[in-house]
Amino acid sequence: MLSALELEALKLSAFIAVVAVFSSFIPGIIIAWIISRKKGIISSILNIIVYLPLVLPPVVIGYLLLILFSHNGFIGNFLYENFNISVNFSWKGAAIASAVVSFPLLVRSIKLGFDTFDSKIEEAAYMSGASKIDCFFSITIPQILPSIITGLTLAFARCLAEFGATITFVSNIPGETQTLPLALYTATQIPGTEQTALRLVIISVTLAFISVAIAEVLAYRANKHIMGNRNNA
Amino acid sequence: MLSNIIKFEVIQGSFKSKIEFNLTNDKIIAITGLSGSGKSTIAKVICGLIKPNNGLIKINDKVLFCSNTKTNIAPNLRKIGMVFQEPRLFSHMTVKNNLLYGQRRNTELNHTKLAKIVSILGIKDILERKTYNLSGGEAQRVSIGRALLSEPEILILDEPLTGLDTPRQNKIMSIIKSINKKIKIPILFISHSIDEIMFIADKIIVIEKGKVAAQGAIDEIISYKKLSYFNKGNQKSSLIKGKIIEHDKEKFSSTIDVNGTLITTKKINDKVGSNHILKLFSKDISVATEAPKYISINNILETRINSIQIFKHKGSVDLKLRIGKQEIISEITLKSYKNLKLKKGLKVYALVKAISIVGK
Repeated sequence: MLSALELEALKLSAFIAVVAVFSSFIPGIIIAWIISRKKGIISSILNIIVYLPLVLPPVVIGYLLLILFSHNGFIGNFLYENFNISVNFSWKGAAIASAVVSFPLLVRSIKLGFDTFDSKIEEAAYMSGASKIDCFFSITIPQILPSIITGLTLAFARCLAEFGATITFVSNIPGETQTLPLALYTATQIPGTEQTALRLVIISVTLAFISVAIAEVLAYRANKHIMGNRNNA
Repeated sequence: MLSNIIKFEVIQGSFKSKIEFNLTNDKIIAITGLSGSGKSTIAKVICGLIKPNNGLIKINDKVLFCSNTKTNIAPNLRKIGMVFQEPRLFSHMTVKNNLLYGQRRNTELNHTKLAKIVSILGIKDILERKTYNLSGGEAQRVSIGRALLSEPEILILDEPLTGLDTPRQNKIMSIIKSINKKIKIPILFISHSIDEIMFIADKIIVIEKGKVAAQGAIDEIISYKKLSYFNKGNQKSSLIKGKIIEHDKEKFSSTIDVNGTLITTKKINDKVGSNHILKLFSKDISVATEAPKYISINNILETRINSIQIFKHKGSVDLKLRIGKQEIISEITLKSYKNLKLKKGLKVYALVKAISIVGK
């Protein structure tokens, strides 16, 4: 069975990944839609900003978050003064770090869905009496559901794997910010804990495998719902 | 009587379209023209998918667009049933939910009307199916049903038969005709095919380079020269009108009088005395300076050359041949033209290999 430390790290990893993915879900759809459908300088700049975390070293992201969210930082000061919220050295900070690094993967997948969706179908919905918002929810979103599921899966997997930005931003505190990769890192640093390290590796691989498998099944079903058996990708 | 006015100007890059015509209720009006002439632009402007630079669009007394008063009703509020070239069905829904999509958004659910439309379209057996495994003809019928159930005040069909095989095209054309009889709304049928428009339309509007080039009832329009090209692959043809004077049951043929010239066709299922429009492809008409005696061709018409047009780069010649007050075009090679020493006014025999009946 799992030890208290392992269970804690596993629960924290899953919890942080879920919070990070769900909180970035709606902004992800909105930004993917803007980047895909609106052409212009603002959209292009937004596109670059969104993809930055994909190419920046995670330690850079962690350090930037540290500056922005510290009590003297632009956002941290605002949150602390107005809502008495502090994200430093807490799971909230770990969730922010995970959300930031996984955001490009979420947006990229959903954007691809918007790009490849034939918008002529939307014209047919308008002509049937649907307003733009109605059409977005009744036609566009269901039609790009496989891309949304893929985006959520990739983002979730990225959150589980998150290490660099988290340790830089919120440190490595057992029970608060110590997710599976951070616990594994600690185990590799202490002589005589090879057994723990190996167990953490197995837990990480199993968790990743199960998450991706569930997502694949969901994406397959969504695809079949829309496309039948013609495209099982 | 409710008034319908379509009058607009659209400028898109180098393409400029200036259109003006009226629609009559309860009639099928065909809009035709070559590819790129601006036919589909008309549909999109009426639907509100393209905003014209100026003009007035009025359907059933309701102003949908007016540049003077700056009125521009959103597409979803225009009450236009639109059938596109591709069926554009919602693949995440069943056929039934596709059909009800428009009805839910425009009126209360009405299963009697659904049943009526389903019966006209013959799609009862596929209602619970998903749309991705429908055949092209089935999908297009569902698309027509969805448009009709959205309680439209006008039905627009933009090349709805493209990509379907001939039996399916015929079936859908018959359905469109029956819709016009059973549900009295004006229908605008956009097509580049002369066969389709002759079969279906009560009135034809010919569009050329973004402008109305000709309009009227079928027999007012058949002499319009550009109609000759409205065939697959821009093959040239001629349309002539004649009256059935007799049927021969044994030979399975009918004789048609075209301004005094008698033409034999495959038997037509219609009464003696009725008028029909015949289509003759220019490549199916050969000419001879003497009447051939032993030949399988039935129609050897004595005629005169009205005019000659030579296409040196193609090595072909168009001869316009007089049939009473009407004309047919024969396309021959430049070599034959020179060998036969043809000239304007010369008496020749037109050997017509094939004739199709395209309308009444």
